[in-house]
Amino acid sequence: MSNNPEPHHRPPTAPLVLHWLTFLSMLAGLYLALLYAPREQTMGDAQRIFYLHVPAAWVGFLAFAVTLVASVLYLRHREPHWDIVAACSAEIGVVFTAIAVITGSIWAKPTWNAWWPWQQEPRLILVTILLLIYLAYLMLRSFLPQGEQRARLAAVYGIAAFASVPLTFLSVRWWQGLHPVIFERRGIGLTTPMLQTFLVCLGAFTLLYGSLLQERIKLAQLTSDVELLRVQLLDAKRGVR
Amino acid sequence: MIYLFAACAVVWTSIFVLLWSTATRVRTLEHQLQALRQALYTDGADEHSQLLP
Repeated sequence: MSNNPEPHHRPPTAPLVLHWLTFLSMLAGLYLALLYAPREQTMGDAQRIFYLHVPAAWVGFLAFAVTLVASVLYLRHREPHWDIVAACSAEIGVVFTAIAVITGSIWAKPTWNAWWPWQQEPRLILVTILLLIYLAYLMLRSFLPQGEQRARLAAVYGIAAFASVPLTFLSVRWWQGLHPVIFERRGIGLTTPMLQTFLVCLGAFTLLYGSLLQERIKLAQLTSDVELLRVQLLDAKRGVR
Repeated sequence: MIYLFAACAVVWTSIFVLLWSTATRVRTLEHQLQALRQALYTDGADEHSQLLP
């Protein structure tokens, strides 16, 4: 957090490059998912939801992993920057996990003939718990007053909460449900064009996560800078009186 | 096909709303920051220069 907030006269080049890369890769991903990838024989066009659903879930897991790392770094170095990174990443993680849950439910209807077959699919329950755990993380942050205590508590919670991520990820392998296992030791259950499309979409969503994280961090830092200047201005006015 | 469109709508609307709300808030805060700096530097520069970084 800066004590010397500077006005942003010219946007730096690196974030712009990242934004453009994100935009172009998202367009490429959309083209490949809707037009290039072959139509799956059993599920038909509904299978194309896979190219949105899995990358969204991946970004959710990645974002929570970044929250974990940033929380550890905060507890180690006590730098407010890591607290901001952890919070921003958790926000993005919650949004993308929610996207994965909703798209999964939409995909489940034509495939499994139910919107939410939680009795046959343990991952649905685990991913809902995961979402609630990280929503609670964000609620905890918003209820506590800003400061070192909040950052410390949030960091400890952010580390403990991550235990639910591998549990959710591995649930498909541990408990046999309806969810298919795509990546197995003996091979990948995708044809080459499908795999190419999937990898492009995965890359595009990862870039999108990078862009969003960068903007959310900028937003959090600006909020903090504005708050700091407000206090300075208030003090200055009190000094005049 | 309807399910695919529904999923696309969910994904793209969420991404758009997240990007738009972040960009709008960033722009508003940048303006606020500039206004606050102006208020500090021009209105109270003489009296409160010790408060400025």
